[in-house]
Amino acid sequence: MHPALSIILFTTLSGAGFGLCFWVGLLGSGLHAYQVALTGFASIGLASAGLLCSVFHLRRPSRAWRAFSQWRSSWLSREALIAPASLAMLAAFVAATALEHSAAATLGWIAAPVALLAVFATSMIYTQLKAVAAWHTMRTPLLFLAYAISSGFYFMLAMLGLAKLTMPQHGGGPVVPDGLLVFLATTLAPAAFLVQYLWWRRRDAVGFGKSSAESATGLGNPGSVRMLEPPHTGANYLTSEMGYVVARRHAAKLRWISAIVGAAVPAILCLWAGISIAGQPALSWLAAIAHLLGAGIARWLFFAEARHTVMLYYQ
Amino acid sequence: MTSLPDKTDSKLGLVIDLDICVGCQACVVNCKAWNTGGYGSALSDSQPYGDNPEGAWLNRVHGYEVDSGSGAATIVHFPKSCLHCDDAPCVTVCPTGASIKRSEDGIVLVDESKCMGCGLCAWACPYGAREMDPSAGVMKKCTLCVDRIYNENLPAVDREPACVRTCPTNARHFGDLSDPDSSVSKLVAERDGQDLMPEQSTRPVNKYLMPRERQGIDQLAEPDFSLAELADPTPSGVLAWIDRALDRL
Ligand code: SF4
Ligand code: SF4
Ligand code: SF4
Repeated sequence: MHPALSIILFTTLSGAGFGLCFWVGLLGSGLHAYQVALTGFASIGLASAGLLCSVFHLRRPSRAWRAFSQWRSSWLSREALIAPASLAMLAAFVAATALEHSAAATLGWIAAPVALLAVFATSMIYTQLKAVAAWHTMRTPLLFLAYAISSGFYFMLAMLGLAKLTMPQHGGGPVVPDGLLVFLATTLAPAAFLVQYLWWRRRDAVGFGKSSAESATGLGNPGSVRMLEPPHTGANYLTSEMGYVVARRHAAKLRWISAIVGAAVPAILCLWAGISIAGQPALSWLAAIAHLLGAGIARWLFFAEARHTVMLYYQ
Repeated sequence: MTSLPDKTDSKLGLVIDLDICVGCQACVVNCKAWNTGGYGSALSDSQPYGDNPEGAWLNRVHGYEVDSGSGAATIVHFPKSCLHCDDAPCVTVCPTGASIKRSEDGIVLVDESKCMGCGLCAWACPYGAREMDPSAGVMKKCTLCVDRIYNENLPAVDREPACVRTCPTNARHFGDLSDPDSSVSKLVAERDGQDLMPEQSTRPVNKYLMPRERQGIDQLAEPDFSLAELADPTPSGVLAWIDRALDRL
């Protein structure tokens, strides 16, 4: 499948943004209002930037508002509804925390799972496509959720570091025990790539699923089918959207690059910083960006390596 | 509404006879000609006279070699357009309500005034029956010539799809596949009409009639080149640089 930059940015940035929403909602009630505001705005900004990127994928963006209408059948429509709802809930949580409202904690606990629901809806846009066998598995939502949770966590550390830097007097320690924080910081990135590894293993085995050139043409009974002449002499929409091949040549190397940058680098950085990780803005930002970059490369492969049944007509 | 109707009053569709099609491309051309001036925006091309001519077409004819393992291989011309599936995945994924399956005749259509050009429906169709219009930026697909088949301004003989009307060998047939007494249903029963990719559970309305067994063709030599190698493009520009850099790694 064609790895469009708009879609890669959309899925990785909004994933990280909603992941951060999740952590802010979950842990925010134990943080200082200043920290909540900073992490909360970062999560909303990151997710909105991602959502904005998706609009660049549309050929008729002025009609994007119509995407709110078909939630009964369409996951893309559901995503379009859940995503802004999730951001609104987080904004309410940030506001309630700032106003020291008694409902703040409850709002946070509602906002956290809704943020994950938004990521799930995004992943279902791809999971639902039976024509792309590599995506059509419940491992895909698992993969998207794993990346969202991990990249959200590193951005939370990074933003807490920033909070400490800008207003040291409010830099109250993170709400989880130091040991757990270091544990999460060193394991979440490798864990996300473990899910990615399992996803890749299935992808490499699944091919076109149950479909073949024979079933696609119905000519399997007479014998084996080979393309003799394509229906068009150049590229067309189908071959450029569904028949992306340049990527696959380097797929194995890119997988290693993504795992080293996205899993090994953040884990080593966090291990090195130890319990002081939340107080080290430079290191935690480096970890967050490395992880996001690795996840971005892996997401590029998610698209570039996926094969669509329409290519069976061109074999 | 992108939910599918529980049941359609009729199932209008095509029956395509692979035994008869000679691959003349007349249906391809007439489909383009009719649909560029009919329903919705013009069916456009980009750079039609330039280096990379490309365009949206609703019907394309592939050519295959079928090797049964004994005797000479058979050449099969394979016309492909939207199959107007009963369980059309392209319709349910559409977020805007532009893609619909009509409950009266089962035709799958795109309302171009609602389409935002996201392309998700083209990804959902296993058959590659949908193409984005390069200039209008809306999704194009076979309309089953909905603007011909009910069109009282046309003489009765022309009230069938353009591709069916033009086919010089009668390889394409049009009719109601829900009516067991229709000529198309009888043809399907007689020749054991097939669904394409039944494992995708789309339940296509269109059916394909398979080539009949050939007789008296001699054994031929094997070809000594691979089309697949010719089809593997080399990148250029920035991609070429990345390609080389990764090669050196
Ligand atoms: S052939 Fe493709 S575009 Fe046509 S109804 Fe079936 S899934 Fe949709
Ligand atoms: S391209 Fe148009 S018709 Fe297709 S899913 Fe998107 S909005 Fe619907
Ligand atoms: S029915 Fe009409 S739109 Fe569909 S392939 Fe035939 S000519 Fe084209």
